[in-house]
Amino acid sequence: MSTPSNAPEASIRELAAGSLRFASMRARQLSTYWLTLVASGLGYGLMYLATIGQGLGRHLENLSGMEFSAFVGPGLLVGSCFVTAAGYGTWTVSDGLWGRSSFRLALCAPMTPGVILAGETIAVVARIMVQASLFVVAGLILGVWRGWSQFWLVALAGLVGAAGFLPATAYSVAGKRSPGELALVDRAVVLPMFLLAGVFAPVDALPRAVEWVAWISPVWHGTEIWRGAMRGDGGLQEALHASYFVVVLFAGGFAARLKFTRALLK
Amino acid sequence: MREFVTGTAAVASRGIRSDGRKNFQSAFAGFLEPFYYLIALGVGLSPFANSFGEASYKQYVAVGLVAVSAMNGALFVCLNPAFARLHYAGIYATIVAGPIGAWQIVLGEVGAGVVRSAVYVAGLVSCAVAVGAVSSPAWILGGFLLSLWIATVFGCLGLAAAFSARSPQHMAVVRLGLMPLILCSGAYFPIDSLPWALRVFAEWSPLYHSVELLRAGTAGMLPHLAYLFALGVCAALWARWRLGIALLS
Repeated sequence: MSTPSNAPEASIRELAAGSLRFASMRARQLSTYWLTLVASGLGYGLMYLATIGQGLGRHLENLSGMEFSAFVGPGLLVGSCFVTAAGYGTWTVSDGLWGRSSFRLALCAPMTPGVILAGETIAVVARIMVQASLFVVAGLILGVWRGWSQFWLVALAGLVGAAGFLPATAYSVAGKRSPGELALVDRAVVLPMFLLAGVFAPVDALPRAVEWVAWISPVWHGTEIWRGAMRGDGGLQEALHASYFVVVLFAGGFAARLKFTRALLK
Repeated sequence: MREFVTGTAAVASRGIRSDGRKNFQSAFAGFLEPFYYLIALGVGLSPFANSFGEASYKQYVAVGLVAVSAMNGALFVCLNPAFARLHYAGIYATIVAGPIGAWQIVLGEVGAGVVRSAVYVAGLVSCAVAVGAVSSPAWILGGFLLSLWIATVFGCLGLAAAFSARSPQHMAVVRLGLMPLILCSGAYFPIDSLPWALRVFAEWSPLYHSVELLRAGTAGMLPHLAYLFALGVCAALWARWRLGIALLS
């Protein structure tokens, strides 16, 4: 039996075409419930911005010189995208390996594990960017921000999504995870990286003991990049936050590819 | 009567034991979310909050989160797991083959939910004490007892929904509804600050009445208690009726 790892070296172009083909297959699967995705994406944004943003905001002073809804909005957007992306890395990737085995089946086509992983990542990032766009639209509807100036948040959310998806994938393919384990990772690792990452209040207002959660979380680094851009004083700090993403994407991508290849060809 | 009670206790103890063993990870995972909100909103935003009267915002949120936690504990036993036990695991069909009826299943499952709630609430209240978010020690006992009552009502509501759902998609819709329920409950801020449509929804929401029950002094409790009681009784009757249909026809 020949495994794809023995196949002759494919060109970059073939690799790219393969991963796009896999991504478009995933996109078509997702598009069967597009209405649910649109309604929940928009509803989530409207609900959070109208309640936590504007409702609670009425009882709070301005933070960092902004109205609370404008302060918290981008963090909610980026954080919710991070949770969704990490959910794909845990639940969906586990299902693709050990449940419905869509990854194993894709191996029957001329695809390598690396190509499949790249395709899955492209699909998840695209899905996250759709969710982020809907959130930005929700913010426009409620008047949290105006005009098109905030649409670059969509790209930022894509970046944070990838930084959530790849490490989560590396974890969930490194061994067979039970639903209980995945639920625990969801709640004990992913959720604090959203809720305790300086989204609602500046990190220095949180207890010292949980500060480090923000430091390791893509949500905090993403939110800080946005806040820096809003203040207009981009510089060394923003460069550091950006370099965090370079490290996490490379390390996460490398680990995910290694573990994913092992899991698929075992 | 005695058989009825032992049957109910048997169902409840089955649920509790399954929490302690194979479901421990999911059971523990369910506890964590209100705790993060206590830190992120309560502790984080307390210095910036200006209109919560004498109580600090930290204390205000802690009370709301006790209600949320009581609800979560009951629902994480009586919603999705109950649906799975009815339709996939076939546990209820097996139980009714013995001398245990539908009423005992309903009450027993609610009992298991209340026990899990009690653990969640106790954990959350300890955390609240640790971060200084509890106003008076006397409140702890009263709040704990009231949260058991809240858990009972949500246990019945959860079972009514779980036994009415005919497909996993129905359950997904119910789960989706939990987010607005929590956000519009007055747990994080008074519901007068909500837009009009959400406020109307909030006024009928069982979680809003639970939060208000915990916030009200002894004098103001009665309307909330009565509303929750009526809702709980209706939900229990409905759950029993739907379970009968699901099991016996």
